[in-house]
Amino acid sequence: MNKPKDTMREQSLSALQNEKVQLIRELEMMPEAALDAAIRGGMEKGKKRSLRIRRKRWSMSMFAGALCMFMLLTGFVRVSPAFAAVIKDIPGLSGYVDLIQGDRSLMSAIENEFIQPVNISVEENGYTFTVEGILADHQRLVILYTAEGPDINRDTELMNYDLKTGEGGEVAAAIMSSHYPSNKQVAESEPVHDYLDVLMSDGIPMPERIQFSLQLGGQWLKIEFPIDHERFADMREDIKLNQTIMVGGQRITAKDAIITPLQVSISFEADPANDKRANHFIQLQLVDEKGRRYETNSGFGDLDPLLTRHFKSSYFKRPKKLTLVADGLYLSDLNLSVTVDTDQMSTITSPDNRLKLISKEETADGIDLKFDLQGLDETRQQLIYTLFKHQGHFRDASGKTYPILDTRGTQAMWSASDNKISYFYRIPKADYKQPLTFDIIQYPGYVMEPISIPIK
Amino acid sequence: MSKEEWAKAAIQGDEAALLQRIELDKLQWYAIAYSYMRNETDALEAIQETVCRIWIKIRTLREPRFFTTWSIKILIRVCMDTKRKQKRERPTKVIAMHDEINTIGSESAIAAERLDMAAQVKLLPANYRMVITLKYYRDMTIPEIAMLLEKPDGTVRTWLNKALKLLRMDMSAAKEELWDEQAKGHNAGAVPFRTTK
Repeated sequence: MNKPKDTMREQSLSALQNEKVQLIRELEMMPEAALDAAIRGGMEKGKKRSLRIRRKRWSMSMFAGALCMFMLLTGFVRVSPAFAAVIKDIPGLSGYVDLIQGDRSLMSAIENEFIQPVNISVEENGYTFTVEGILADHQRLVILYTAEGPDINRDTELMNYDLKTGEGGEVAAAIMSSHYPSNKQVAESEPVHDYLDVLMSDGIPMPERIQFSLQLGGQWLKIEFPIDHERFADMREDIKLNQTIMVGGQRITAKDAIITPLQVSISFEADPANDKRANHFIQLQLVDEKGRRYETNSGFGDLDPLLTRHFKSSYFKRPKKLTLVADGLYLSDLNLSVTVDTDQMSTITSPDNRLKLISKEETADGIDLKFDLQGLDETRQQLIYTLFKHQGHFRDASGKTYPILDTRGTQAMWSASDNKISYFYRIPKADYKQPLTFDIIQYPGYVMEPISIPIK
Repeated sequence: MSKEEWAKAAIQGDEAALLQRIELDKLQWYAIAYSYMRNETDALEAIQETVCRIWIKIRTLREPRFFTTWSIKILIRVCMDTKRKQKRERPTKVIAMHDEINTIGSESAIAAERLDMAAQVKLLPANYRMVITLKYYRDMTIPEIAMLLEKPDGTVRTWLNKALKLLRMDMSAAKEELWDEQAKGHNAGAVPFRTTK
């Protein structure tokens, strides 16, 4: 083919143009549901890669009422016929199908008619706030509500809410909201269905009454409703476990299990006499005798010393046996530290040379240091480690100590292609005597040792 | 709440706000990922990875108003990395778009040329493939592309020219092949590029 050059150029440009026309046609068939699933999947992946950050954030905002969301992230679960039938029988509930089908605890509770109808509405200046019903047990409260009014739709800004006990006290819990389904067209104004998911803090009893206020169109609308404790009074199984296991030479005790219709909680404690620090379980799950798995998306605390994990509830499945399983344990040596020179920008000592000082940046508020944890295999990459103690200190060569300015917890960045995790720490501007030494709390390391603890 | 307010809340660790903010950009992301990948599975995978990285890095984003640019930069990075991985895994797979090939006569020439173009673009080095995608499939300007790839305008222009040159060469080579096949007869126009099993 010896055509003149510009003809060839034109030809390839026109081929590209044709290609674009076809492309646009293909893009019209965008798989929106799959796209949403990919986005949710990405969030979940992100959570797994940064468990540590997440846990830190919860524990800091737990009693203030954390606004975070896990239910949306548990992925798509098929709507069972039983569930669909119950939903159809209770007027006003159909709008919630999309919201709760990702949460197997809630689906199973609704299938078993565990819902308490409330059906209270308040209206003001064209805005309506309705609480349709609640699901409640000893540990968890789910409030199904609807907001309606001019310009209210799923694009409406996150609605402010306020939750109080009947006496007007704080509800000590982690509270989650904004579980919007996103795979539908948004109308100009439409009723917005959502639920508040309230995970009571350890040992805090479920209130008798709730005052739930929602801000709509600049005004607060309030609904007060009772929680019928009769409905779940006997539906609680407390199991004293006190089973100590040895993993990687470390003693960890599974202390108690609480099984209620909406949640299973299991608490763990690491032995203070352990010679390594237990950082987290690898792939923790509950499994019943039929092989059904109940995953865990949230928890309070830290394995070392004390952790409570929440699992999807097995209550209505009434399994004969329930076993806690994990593939292994993340652990690291005690008393590790890293020594760096921030003038020369060198790493002087670091455990197995994985941790390195990479860069520094002076800002108005201090000096931002970037450390890289390098050469991490796939399992090591799954956890974001709390390298340095939150709001801890470091010392310079003269022995003087300075605070680490990590007011927002550990900041980390993950890089798949380079098998590394980057951490950012801010230190004050000061006249340091180099080098600087930072004590390390958690460090990459794990043992793969199948863990199996019979719960019942 | 405005775009920026969502982004701001997301930076402060509000997951719900992050999802809302992503919602506003997801179509644009998909269009870019699909245009580059040319198949749904890879495009969705790239978006999943992008969301994962955004989730982890969001707190390092300093300016809420730059969310879109920042996230597209990540997406582009992910797309280009995927390409490299795939290349290592299956280096010689050329085309498998069977359903597109059932055209006959003169249409087949256009279809063939188009298919050929899609295949050739796919075989370009990742950076060339990305500039072609952004420029010709997503209609972006050189400065826009330069900003997203964090390269000087001149570099992007050079890449674009080199990419077009490579495509021209590949086009003519591929056409000869096509005509060879047609010369052999039997419905050649209809199945010019099916990979042989």
